[in-house]
Amino acid sequence: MAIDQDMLHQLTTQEDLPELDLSWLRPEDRARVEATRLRPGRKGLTLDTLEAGQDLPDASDDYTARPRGAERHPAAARHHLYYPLRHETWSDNVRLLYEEAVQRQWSSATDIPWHTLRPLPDDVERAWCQFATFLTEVEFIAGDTPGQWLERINPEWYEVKLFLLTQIMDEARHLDVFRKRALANGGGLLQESGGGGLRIILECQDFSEFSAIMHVFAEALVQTLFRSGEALAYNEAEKAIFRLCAQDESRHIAFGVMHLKHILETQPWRREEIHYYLDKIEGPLSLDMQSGASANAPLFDEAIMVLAGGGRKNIDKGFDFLMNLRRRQVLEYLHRLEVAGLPERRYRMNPVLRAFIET
Amino acid sequence: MATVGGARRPPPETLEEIHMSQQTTEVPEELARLAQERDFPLDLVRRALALGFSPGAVRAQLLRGISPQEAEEFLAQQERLRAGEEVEVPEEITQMARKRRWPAGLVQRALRAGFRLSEVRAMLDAGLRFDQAERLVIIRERSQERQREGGEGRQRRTELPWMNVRTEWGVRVRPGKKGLTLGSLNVGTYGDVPDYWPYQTEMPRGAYHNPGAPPMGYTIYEKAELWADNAADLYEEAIQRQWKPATAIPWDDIAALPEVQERALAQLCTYLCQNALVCSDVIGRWLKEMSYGYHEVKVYMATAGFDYARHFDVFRKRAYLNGIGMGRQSPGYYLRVIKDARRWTEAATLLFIFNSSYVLHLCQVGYYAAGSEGDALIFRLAMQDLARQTAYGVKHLQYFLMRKPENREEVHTCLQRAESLFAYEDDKDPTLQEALIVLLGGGLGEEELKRGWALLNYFRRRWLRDYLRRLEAAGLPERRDRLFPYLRQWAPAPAAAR
Repeated sequence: MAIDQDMLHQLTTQEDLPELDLSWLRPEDRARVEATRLRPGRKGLTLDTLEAGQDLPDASDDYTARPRGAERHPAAARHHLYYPLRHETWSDNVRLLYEEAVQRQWSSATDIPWHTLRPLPDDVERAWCQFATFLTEVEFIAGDTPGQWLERINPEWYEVKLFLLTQIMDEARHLDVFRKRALANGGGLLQESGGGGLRIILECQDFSEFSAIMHVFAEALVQTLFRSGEALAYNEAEKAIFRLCAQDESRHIAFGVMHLKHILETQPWRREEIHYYLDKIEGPLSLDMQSGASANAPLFDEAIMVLAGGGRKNIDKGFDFLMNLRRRQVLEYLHRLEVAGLPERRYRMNPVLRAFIET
Repeated sequence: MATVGGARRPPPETLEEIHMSQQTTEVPEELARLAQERDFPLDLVRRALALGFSPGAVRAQLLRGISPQEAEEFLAQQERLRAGEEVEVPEEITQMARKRRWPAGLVQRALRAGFRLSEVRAMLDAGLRFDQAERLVIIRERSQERQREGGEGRQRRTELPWMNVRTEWGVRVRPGKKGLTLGSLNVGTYGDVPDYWPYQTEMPRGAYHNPGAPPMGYTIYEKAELWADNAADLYEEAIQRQWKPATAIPWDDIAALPEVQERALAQLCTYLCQNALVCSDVIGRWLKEMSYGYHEVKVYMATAGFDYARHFDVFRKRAYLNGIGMGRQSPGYYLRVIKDARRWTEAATLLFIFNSSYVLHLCQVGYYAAGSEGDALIFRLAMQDLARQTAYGVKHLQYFLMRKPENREEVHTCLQRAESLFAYEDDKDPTLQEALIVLLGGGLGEEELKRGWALLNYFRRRWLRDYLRRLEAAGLPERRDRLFPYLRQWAPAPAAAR
């Protein structure tokens, strides 16, 4: 960008330079920064490289929008009553997950081989469309929910904010890709589900409640489903959808599991509280999980059975798949809780779920 | 297989029928092979099939590793139950069932449904209430019915109501030059974006409403309150143009500027970081307010939030790159105005027209003063993202004003508030302004500062010009005459850049 020199001369002679304060240039007023040049590593210049050696405070009484490390402005306006403790929202893998999310963005318009879609038997196509309709709904909620926590997270721990923004982006792409699948092969969107269980995620009043319910429970179920997608996919486009969505979900779960671990390690007195949140979500959603004819979302389960069976005439085969899927979902959920440091959940889980793996 | 003339026959009901059936039941070749591989008696397989269990179910048990003893125990139990006999339930289980207040008969029913005694015991151990246990039993009963029923029943059962809901069946969307884009999905009735979205649920536009679905608590149901005709295209463009701060910037090639300029740049980056964080908070707050009838706007907002994340990331990295770090925070007065908005159009106008125009001008300053290709790239990529945001802001305000001309004065009130608080902050806290002067002038010498001041005024005139042009494009040309007085100092048209 170049500027006309005559005009610049005119401006220079016309404008009176105001008196300057320049106090912001005084380095002694700043938080001390190791005056060394950052060097990008194998993965580029990552947040881990950036923050290596910097202080990471555990608490903050600053309610302004000050980014970590910036000099405080004495007259800065407060923006929100944030969580004052790092533990409330932190996860030790958050920087890594953010960078990975940025690196692994994909496009539903161009990264899915849509040309591999072929006309399917009517019942299978309808089942796919019902399946995609439900997942579009699920991803709507999944996208809305992280956003409501952003303004409650202190900019001191900006990494969590950045990660949640990547999650919102991921969920937008998921709702988009399932909508596209529903409309790309001559079917269309089918019936809205009951949706009651999902509202619990929106209703959370605490970040750890939100993370346990959404990342550790709900997304874990979806992740197991996506990873079992091979049985539901009829072409390369659908396989790619499952693979790419599962990759994104893995990050969200990893955040949730490590946040839960962090909470249990730093605030062990919250263990029972966490069980309460899990009790809450396992109850309503377990109804969905239990059967192909449950009151809440029969259409989703039925769609899975038709897809896995290869058509509605083979719904028995699909039922077996669904039951195996549910069992895997519960087992993987329990495994993640064990990793997070909540192994006793196996024995305290909603009896309906527990019976599911024990019978 | 237990079939008669190709159709599944009803399961045997008496012991005699069961024995007859066992003699005539054929085991499918594949299943027989599996049993042999697992060293599992074929006779037990035949007995299971004779009871009406499907080959698939038997195969699943074999794969799960059921032992012949377990199978024998289970099949004997099933045969007795089918013959009308009751299975003897150990007293211990009866007691446990009583303790759990299971109704009399539920244990027998569970056994008839195909549960083993050990499984019933596990259900009781797990603490299942009677209603929960009954659910499991019902599922198992249905599964058994499926395995036993004849062709007609199967046909009836597979009539799934959701398969018959109205859709645009047969309308197939094809990928175009830019792939399968969100906008291209708006065909047939899916292209009808209603002026008012009547559903409070999570129903996607174009799906069939479920009257039992609960409300989700959104507050924006009117198209005029959020719509922009370019939202779907901006969403796809944002995804195609996403860049990666860690690897897209040639960090190694960015040499340190002289210390004073490096500090000035770090100060600019600090401001941009703070701005990006607050803006992303605003988006997060409003996303959940937008109903699902207008998903194009919601998904575009997700990309805008992601843009802000990357901006924070890249500007923080740049501030620290050469050992300086964050500068002084801004007091954040005018950013609070954006946060304080009580209507999305208010927030969007301030965020995407007022603020994005302002931040664009800061990026122009950064781009102009860039001492390396890497620095120039950082600001160029950020400007590319901000341009999309202004595009949404302008188109939305335009749509809003066309549908709601009676709200024109309200928009002026919002802008007045933002402009006046910007003036207050700019006057009260010279930090950013001074940093820009130093950066543009190239140092602290008198001539350098004078040059920097002149250039800053140049860029601010450019900013005001662009800001007013955007408002004009949105249908608010009179803002030029109603601009807050403090900003009028930069209102004259700037010199053309080349």
